[in-house]
Amino acid sequence: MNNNEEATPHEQNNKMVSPTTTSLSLPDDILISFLSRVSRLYYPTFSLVSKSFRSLIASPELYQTRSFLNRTESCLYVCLRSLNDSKLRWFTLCRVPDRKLTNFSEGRWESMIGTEMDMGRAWVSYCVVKNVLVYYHERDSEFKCRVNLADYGGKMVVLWDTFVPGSGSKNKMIWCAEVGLENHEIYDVCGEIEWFDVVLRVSKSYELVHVIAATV
Amino acid sequence: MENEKKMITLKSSDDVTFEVEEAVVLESQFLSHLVQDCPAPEHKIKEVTGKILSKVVEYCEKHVVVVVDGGDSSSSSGDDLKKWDDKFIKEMDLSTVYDLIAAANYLNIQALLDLMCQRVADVITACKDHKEIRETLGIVSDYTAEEEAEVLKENEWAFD
Repeated sequence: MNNNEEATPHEQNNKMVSPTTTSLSLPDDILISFLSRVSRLYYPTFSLVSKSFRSLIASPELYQTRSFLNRTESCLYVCLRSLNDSKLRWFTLCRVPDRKLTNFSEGRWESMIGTEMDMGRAWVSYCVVKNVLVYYHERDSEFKCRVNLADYGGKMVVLWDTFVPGSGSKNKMIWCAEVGLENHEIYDVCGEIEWFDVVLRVSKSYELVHVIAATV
Repeated sequence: MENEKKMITLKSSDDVTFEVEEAVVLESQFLSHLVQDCPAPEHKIKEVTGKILSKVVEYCEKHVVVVVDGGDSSSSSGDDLKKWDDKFIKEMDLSTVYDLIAAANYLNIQALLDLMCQRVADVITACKDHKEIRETLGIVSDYTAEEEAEVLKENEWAFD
């Protein structure tokens, strides 16, 4: 852990304050060891604790340790674009113990890889779940929103947005549904919605661009 | 080596001695190498105090017994061990937990390290915000007010 040069004798910067402690500070690998045992849901809070916590949370070592300890979590990365300035913002949706996903942001990725959607074309989203290609085409639906699909550990997640009722079309809600897919005799594949809920609330100036799943 | 119990003496940094069976010592990777490479009857562990070494010995003795008895009292022994672990950590203040983490890391006792880290993880996830985490862990923030506001802003949608 890093100490401030100007730390006064009363300050034990980033050290564990305890009169009985023989080893005064914990090395980074130990900090990583307990940070890796905590859900990533808490990481934004941890990043506010101190600079070294923040840099540990961004370090590849932490994610290697999570993987080594089998503590990885499946998360959805949701990309939204601001219609005001065209900037992209990424959000991470993480599973909480009651199975639903909840959100926290992971900062902005400004001027990200230039995958601009062609606004003139029809909206299409697709994903491959259990070797089945699933796609959404706006012509097949009366939805007036962008539906995004992603493979989420063998299940399909569907994200879409709606305006918040009563907000005078000022705010949008991003919905998420998790769909279990099974083989079906007649239709080949049959899906069952396991849950759906609002996972993000944003201003109407944001639109859903992309969603991908990753386990880290 | 069957049946005859070889005893080893461990001496802490403050010269507290513990006489333990060799099997107990083998719970620690560091000590098993030490005992193999240097077959002296007594080993001084300069990095660990008597208070902490007594906890380490207590943990290792408990865990080694269960492994040996494992065949007899199969499933319940796992549950008992879990209960014992819970009680072991519940009674411990955080400074002892830190010292034990450092000791378990130094002596290379993975299971003890896991247990202690999980305890810290449980404590910090129970905190309501970053300020409480700082208080609990005794961390003084090195952020300036502006820097902290900046990080908070980056995370702003996470906290609504």
